[in-house]
Amino acid sequence: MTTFAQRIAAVLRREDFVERHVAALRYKAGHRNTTIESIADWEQRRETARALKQEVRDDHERFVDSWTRAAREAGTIVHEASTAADACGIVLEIAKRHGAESIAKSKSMTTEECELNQFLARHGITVTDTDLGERIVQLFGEPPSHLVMPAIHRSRKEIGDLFAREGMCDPGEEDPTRLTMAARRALRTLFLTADLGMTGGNFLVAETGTLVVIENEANSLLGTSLPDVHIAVVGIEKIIPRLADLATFLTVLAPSSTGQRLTTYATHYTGPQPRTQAEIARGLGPRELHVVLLDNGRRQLRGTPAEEGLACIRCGACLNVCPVYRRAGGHAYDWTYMGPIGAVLAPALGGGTRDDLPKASSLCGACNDVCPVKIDISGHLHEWRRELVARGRVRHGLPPMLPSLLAHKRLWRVGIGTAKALGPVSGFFAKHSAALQRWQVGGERQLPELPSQSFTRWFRSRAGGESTLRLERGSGPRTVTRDDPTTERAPGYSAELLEQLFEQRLIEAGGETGSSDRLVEAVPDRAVATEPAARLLAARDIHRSMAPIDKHELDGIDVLVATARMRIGQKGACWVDFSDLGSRAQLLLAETLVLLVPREAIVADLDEAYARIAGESLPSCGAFVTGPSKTADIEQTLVFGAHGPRRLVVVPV
Amino acid sequence: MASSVRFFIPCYVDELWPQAGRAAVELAEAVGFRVRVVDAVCCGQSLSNAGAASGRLEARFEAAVGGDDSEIVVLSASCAGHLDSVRPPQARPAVVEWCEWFARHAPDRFPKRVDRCIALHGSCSALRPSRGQPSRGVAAMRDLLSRVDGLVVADPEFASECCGFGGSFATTFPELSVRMGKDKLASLRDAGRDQGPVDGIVSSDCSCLLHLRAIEGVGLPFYHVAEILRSAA
Ligand code: SF4
Repeated sequence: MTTFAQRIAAVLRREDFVERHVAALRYKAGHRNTTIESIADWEQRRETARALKQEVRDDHERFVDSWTRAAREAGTIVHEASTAADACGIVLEIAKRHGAESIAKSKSMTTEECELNQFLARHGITVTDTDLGERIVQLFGEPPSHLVMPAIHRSRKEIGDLFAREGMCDPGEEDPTRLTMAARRALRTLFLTADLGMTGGNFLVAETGTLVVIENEANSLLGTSLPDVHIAVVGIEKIIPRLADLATFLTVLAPSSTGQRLTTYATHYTGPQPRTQAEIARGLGPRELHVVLLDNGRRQLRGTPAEEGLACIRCGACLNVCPVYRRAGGHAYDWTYMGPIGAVLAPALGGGTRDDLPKASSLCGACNDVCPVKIDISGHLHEWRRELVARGRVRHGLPPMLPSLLAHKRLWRVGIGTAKALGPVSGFFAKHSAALQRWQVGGERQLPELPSQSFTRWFRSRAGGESTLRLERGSGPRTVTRDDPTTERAPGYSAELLEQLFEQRLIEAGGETGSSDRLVEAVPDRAVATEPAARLLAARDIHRSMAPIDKHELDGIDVLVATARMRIGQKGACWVDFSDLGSRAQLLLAETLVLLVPREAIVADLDEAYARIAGESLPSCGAFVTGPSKTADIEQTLVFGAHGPRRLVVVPV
Repeated sequence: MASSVRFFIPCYVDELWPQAGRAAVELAEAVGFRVRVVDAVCCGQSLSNAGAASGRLEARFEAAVGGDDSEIVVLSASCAGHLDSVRPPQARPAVVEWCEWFARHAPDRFPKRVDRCIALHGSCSALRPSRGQPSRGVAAMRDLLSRVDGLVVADPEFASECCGFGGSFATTFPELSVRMGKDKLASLRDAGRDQGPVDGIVSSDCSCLLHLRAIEGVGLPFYHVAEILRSAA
């Protein structure tokens, strides 16, 4: 097996890759910085998120029990998997019971960890990764290289060539929009025929038994809405205490991850959604929701330097800022979890073969600065180094004499003195000392000159002869301010301001607002409507036909009008209760989605939104929708309509 | 009536960048301090970062500074950061980074003009809080430099990206370390884009400077903050 040192040296020889990768990640990190500047309570949110994760770790089994109990009450089938093999077995068993041959899977690091795709393939079941980036790496036959941007290491040209080889586009295609559309076409067919949908999970809410899945493309929602059976494989560390806590986690996750304010879809699954009357009339059987709670070594992290790593919400921010990851790319880590957080988890979860990863850091601490749950990542890497060296699992790699030299001032002076005296023959040392050779990297970095007089010699030589320089003492430290980020958040919003904010944030997210005075423009004649939407329209003397239920009939529909329950001003988001839909596919398959929302139903932030949701009643399926389906998986180019609607129009009525 | 102050000059500054120590001492004396130098070689960071047992060095440091409550002024942001991370909170004597200390005593304006454009390299320890400790000194460094007439301080793009030194990191992953250094040098050189060409690079960590100077291809001189301030005194 190769070492990280060998792999990184090899990567660095690929100049063009390194340059593109560094630029892409600097760009991503820049997005994050811009977004968080306008979030006034950012630091408090991070601290709250950290404390919540700590609360769960401190009483972990109780939280697992309460989540499991609440989830079962809601009708979710909960499985516990101690190992990756258990998880694979459980999934296979469910798939067999349903006679599934084809699975549509959305991005999930846990299934990567379990090597589930390969396992199911051996049993004749095809798993298709449906996230665009995941699909790209799957077709390349390689693992993801980033926690949230799996194909960030690939150029548009490489992706174009790949798609052409797969017959998905014409040879020579390099345009990210057209490439995305080619993938959309190929995957739409798959969604319509898949037998089973699989996802990971971002959060498990102990209070309500809810599973929350965050995504931009709608591939996850398509995979869980078109097939009847949904299996989520989720690490046990994803549990959070209460529904209201999601306000904090969702507030910190998207900005850290992509620089968005909120991810396009945040779907809350609390038990399998019952079939609607219309679906039952069509003879559709009940849905099933399975959650496989994966341990796979997580419980054993307690008391190791990796323990706090369990708080990770997989936002990828630490990767984006890491100077090592930026130049290495994810594959150099040669492990499921890459970057700084991967290196924290590696010695504990990497089966003893990834002990060199904690060294893959200059301990610069850039990761700690951005981590939304305030994990002391570089601190834990440092702890690992000491622990692994002490246990003899890795070598510290310093020149053997150094510790003694530094501990004894006299020895140190003699050592340095000798080096200086040997000036003429020091070329010999430079050539033959392994450490000095590594320092020089074949002449890329010079050895330092040894000044003839050290500081100590100079200081002693003065022996009381202090400097005659005189300066006037000043009045003390001053703050030199420099473009301090200003925040735009006011403590309270007027109704008008909230409307403006909503519109601005929705536009930022790629959506549009419509006016109720010109409702007809937003819902052209050819539009079809869900039942509640049709009623709302009819009350305004606009008559539109009822939207179909069936996924095949919905496929290719131009404009679909549905309803949302409320808007969130700060995020430009709408809350959609899926029981308002005739079928879940209605939200996902039209080219343009129009959402009608009661004008008065607008709240400032997610905290208020969750208070309302809890006050009414948590639906078995509900989602925050923020703009149209989108992706930036091909060279960071934003493309709308990755899998779901290309346009989203929100009309307050 | 000269008050006295204790300096800790880390091992590599002592032998490899003595000019920073000289400038720091002369400036302290110029504002009326008598400087004493702590009799210790290394704070332990060089070993600790590599994962080697550093307890012996840290104990020696404590022995050298103990029995006297006056604070220790450390001529390196990263050594000060390391000491903070291994010493108990509120440990006596307290440790303070040189820029933070000197900002309390330096003149409000230095007497001489320095008509130069200097790119500022904030070391990781100077830039960001680490292990629960506040960041060490970029603000103080900026404050001090702003008291020199004529001096233009230019900030590089991607200022928060590490220069690639990182102690043992530099020899564990030499190609990577050099690559990071080259990228850092490129952004430092271009830092003056709006303010006129950069003609020097300044930092409060000589370890970064040693690494950058050794790779250097930009033909610019490197300075510890104290050296720039000394030239304005
Ligand atoms: S460790 Fe923190 S910054 Fe890194 S992916 Fe996890 S949550 Fe994000």
